[in-house]
Amino acid sequence: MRRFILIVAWLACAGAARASDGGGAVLRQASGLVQVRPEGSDRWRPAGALPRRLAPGDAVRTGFNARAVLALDGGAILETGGNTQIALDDTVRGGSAVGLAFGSARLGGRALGGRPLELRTPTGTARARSESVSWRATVGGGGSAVFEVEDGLVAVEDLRGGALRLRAGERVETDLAGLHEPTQTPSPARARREDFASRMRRELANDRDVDALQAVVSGEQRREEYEQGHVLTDAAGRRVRAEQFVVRTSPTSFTFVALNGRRDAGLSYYSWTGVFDVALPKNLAPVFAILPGSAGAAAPWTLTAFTATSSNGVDTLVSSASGGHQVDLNSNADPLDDVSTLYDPATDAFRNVAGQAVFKVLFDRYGLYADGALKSGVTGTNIQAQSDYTASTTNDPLTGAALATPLSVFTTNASFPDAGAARQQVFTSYQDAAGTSITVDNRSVAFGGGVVSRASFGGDVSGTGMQTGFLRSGFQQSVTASEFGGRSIDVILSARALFETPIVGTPSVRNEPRALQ
Amino acid sequence: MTRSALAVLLLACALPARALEWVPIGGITALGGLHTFEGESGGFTGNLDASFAPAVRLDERWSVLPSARGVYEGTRRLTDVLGTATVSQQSLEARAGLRAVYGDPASRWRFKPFMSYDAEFLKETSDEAWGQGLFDQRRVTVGGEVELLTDEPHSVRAGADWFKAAYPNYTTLESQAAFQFAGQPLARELAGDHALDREGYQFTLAGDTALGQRLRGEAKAGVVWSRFAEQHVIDEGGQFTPDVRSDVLTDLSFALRMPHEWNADLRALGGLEVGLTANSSNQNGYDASRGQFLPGYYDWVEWRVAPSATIIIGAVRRPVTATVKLGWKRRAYVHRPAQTSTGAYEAGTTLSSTEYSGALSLAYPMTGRISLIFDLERASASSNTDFQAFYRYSYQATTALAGVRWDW
Repeated sequence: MRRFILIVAWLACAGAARASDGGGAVLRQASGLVQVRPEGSDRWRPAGALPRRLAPGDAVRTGFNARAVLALDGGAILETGGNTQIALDDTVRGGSAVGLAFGSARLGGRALGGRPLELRTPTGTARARSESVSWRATVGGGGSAVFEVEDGLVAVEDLRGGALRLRAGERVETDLAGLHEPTQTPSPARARREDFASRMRRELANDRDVDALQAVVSGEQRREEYEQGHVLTDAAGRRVRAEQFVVRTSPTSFTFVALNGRRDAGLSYYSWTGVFDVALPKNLAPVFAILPGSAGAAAPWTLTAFTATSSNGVDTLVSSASGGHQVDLNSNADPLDDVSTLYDPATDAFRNVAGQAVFKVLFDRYGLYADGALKSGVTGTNIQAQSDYTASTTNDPLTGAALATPLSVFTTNASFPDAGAARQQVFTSYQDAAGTSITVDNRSVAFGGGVVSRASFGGDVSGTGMQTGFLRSGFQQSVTASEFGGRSIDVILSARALFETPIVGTPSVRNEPRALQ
Repeated sequence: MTRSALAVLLLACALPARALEWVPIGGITALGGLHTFEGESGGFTGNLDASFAPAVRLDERWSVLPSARGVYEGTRRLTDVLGTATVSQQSLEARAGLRAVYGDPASRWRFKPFMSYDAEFLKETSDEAWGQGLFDQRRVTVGGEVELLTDEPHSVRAGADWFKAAYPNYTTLESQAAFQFAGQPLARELAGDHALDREGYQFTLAGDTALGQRLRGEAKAGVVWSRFAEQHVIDEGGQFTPDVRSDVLTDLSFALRMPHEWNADLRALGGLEVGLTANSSNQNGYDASRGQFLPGYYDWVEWRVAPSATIIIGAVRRPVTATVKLGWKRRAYVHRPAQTSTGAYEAGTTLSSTEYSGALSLAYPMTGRISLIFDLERASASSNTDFQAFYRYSYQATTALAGVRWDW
C-alpha cells in the first residue's frame, strides 16, 4: 500500500511537472513591432494583448529596434533584440529549448534544478550547465553565431559534434566549419566602445568614398591636359606647358599661335598670321588644307600676306611677306620649282602630284628680321617662279625704305650634327661685317624628355621621311641669332604648322630658316 | 562667493566632460618600393599614409568624427593616371574633415552633415618644387548624407554635397599672353585664366545587403556635376563661345562578396566587382595645327570588371590575408577619333583603350597592431590610337611595395 501511494504520488508530480515544463512560454512584454506565428500557420500576426500564452512550435519575430520578453515554462527568461526570429521547441523533455533563426537573444534562468535549457542556432547549440545561468547569442550571415556567457556555465556544441564549455566572461563563435577558439567577452563598457569605434570606422570609410569620385574627376583633368599636349617635357628634360590655338582677327585673316611656358623663363611663342583675299569660312579646316598648295585647281582662298614670328618675349625672329598670288608651279617656266609631292594636313600624307597642276602662293615681297634688323629679303613683281626673285640689298623689301647698310649675301647649310639623334640644324651665315648668323635647331622630342633616335626617321634626313618623323613626336624648334645676345627662342609646337607655312626660297637658298624641308 | 563660482564652473566643465566618450581611430602605413613604366624605373622610393580620427560620442544621438589624413606617394600606384608616364612623380595630400552623425537609437535613420578641406601637391618632374606643381589642388566639400539602416550592418545611404576645387598654380598661357604681348593678337576673346577650377555638386547613393545565406551585395551610384567658370566652350571655328564648360561624371558599381569558411583557421572571400563610369561634357576639342574641330572631345564611357579572391588564415582578430585581384577595364571615347602615328584623325574610328591588371597583396600580422604588407601590381594597356607623343595609351607598368601597417 505504501509502495502504491508512492508510485501514485510520483506519477502525479511527474504529470504536474510535465504540464508546467511543456516547452511553452508566455509573451510578457513587447515593444515595437512584435509578431507571432502559431505552429502550423504560415501567417504572422501582431502579438496582441499581453501576456499571451505561446505553445511549443509557435514563433516570434521582432522588427527594427523592437524587443520582446518571454517567460519560458520552467522559469527561464528569454529577451530578444530587434530584427530577430525565435521559435519554441518542445523536443527537450522536462526543460525549455528555443531556436534562434536570426538576430540576437539573451537567455537566462535561476534554480534550474537540472532542467534542460537550450538555445539552438543554425550552426551551434548552447545548453545551461549550472543552476544559475545567463548568456547571449547572436546569429549573423551564413548562420554563424556568437555565444557570450554572462553568468554560470554553458556548453556549446557545433554541427560537427565539437563541444566546449564557456564560463562567465567567455565567448565563442560557431559556423558551418565548427567552433572557433573561445575568447574573453569584452566588458559592457568595452563592448560599447568597440561598437562605437566600429561604426565610426565605417563613417570614416564613407567619408573617403566622397573623395573617391572627386579623385576620378581630378585625374581626368590631368589626363586631358596631357592628351592635348598641354604638358610636355622638352629636349633638355624641363617641364614645358604648351597651348596651340587659332585667333580670328578679321573675316579675311587668322592667326595660328603656339605658346610655351617654362618655369622661370616666361612665355615663348610661334605665331603665324595669314591674310587672305576673301572672307574665310568659320570652319578653317579646308583653309588649312590648301596652305601647302592646291593640286588640280587653284584654291578658293588666296593668301595675300603672312607674318611668322618666333619670340621669347625679348627677342624676335620675324618673317613677313606680301603680294601673294597663286601660281601653278608645275606649269611655269622654271622646271626647278616643280612640285612632285604635296602635304595634306588632314591626313598627314604626302600625295604624289607630279605632272598635275599644283598651285602655290608666291609673294612679291618678303623679308626676314632678327630683333628688328633685316637679315634678308626678296622682291619682284607678279612673281611666277622662285627663280624670278631679286634679292634685296639696299632697300627694305616690304617698306621700300633705304637701308643704312646694304644687305650681305648669306649661305645656308642644313645638317644632322648628332649621329644618332633626330636633330636637324639649319645654319645661316651672313657675310656682313659682324659675321652674324642664325641657327635653327629642329629636334624630335622623346616622350619624357631628350631627343628621339634617328632610327625613328628611318634614316631619312630630308624630304617626306624626315617630315613624317618630325610629326610622330613632339617637335621643338630653337632659334638663336647673333642679335639675341646669347639668348634663344625655344618653342615646342606641331611640326605641321611649319609644313603649312609658305616657303619663300628653295631649300638651296633658304630665306625662311624655320621651314622644314 | 568666488569659491562658489569656481565650484559651479568646475561642475559645468565636468558635466559635459563626463558625457563625452571618445575613441581614437587611425593608422599608419609605410611602404617602400619601385614603380616601373615601360621598363623605366623611378628608383626606390616610398609611400606613407597616416590618418587620425578622434571619434567623439556627444550623447546617445550625436557623434562627431573629426579626421586628419596625410598621404605621401613617392611610388606610383596603378590606380593613378599612368599615361602621363612620369615615373619620378611624387604627391602629397593633406586632408581635414569633420563629420557629424545624428541618429535616434530607436530610429532606422541616420543624418550626417560633413565638410572637408583637401590640399594636394604634385611633383611630376624632379625639377618641380613642392607647392609649385601645375596640378596642385585645393578642394572644399560641404554636404550631408542620410542613411537608412535596413538590416545591420547593412544600410542604404544617399548623399549630396557641394564642392569647389581650385588649381592655384594653373593659369592658361593664353590668358598670360593677353597681358604679356599687348598689342598683338595672341589671345582669343573670353580666354579664361584658371580654366581647370571647378565648382559643382555631387550626389551619391549606396547600399549593401545580404543576398541569401552566402552572398553579400553592394551597389553604388554617384554623379558629379562640375562647372568650369573660366573655361568657355569652343566652337567649330576654334573660338570661345559665351557658354562655359560643364561636365557630368556618372559612376555605377556593383559588387558581390562571397565569404566561405573551410574551418576556423582557413577562410576565404571571393569577390566580383563590375562598374561603369561615363563622362559627358559640353566642351569640344580643337586641333589648331589643322583647323580640325573635335566635337564631344571629353565624352567617354568606361567599363570595368574586377574579380578577386582573398584567403584568410588564422585567428579572426589577427589573420594572415592574401589577396589576388584581377582587373579588366575598357574605355571608349564616344566622339574622339583615333589617330595615326603622326596624329592624323582616322575617320570612322573612335579612340578606345583596354587595360588588364593583376595585383597580389599579403598582410602578415606581427606584434600588437602591426602587420607586414607586401603589394605587387602589374598593368598592361593597349589602344587603337598610334599617336602617343603626349600621352601613353599603351604601356606596361609595375609597382612593387613592402612595408608595415599600424592600426589602432
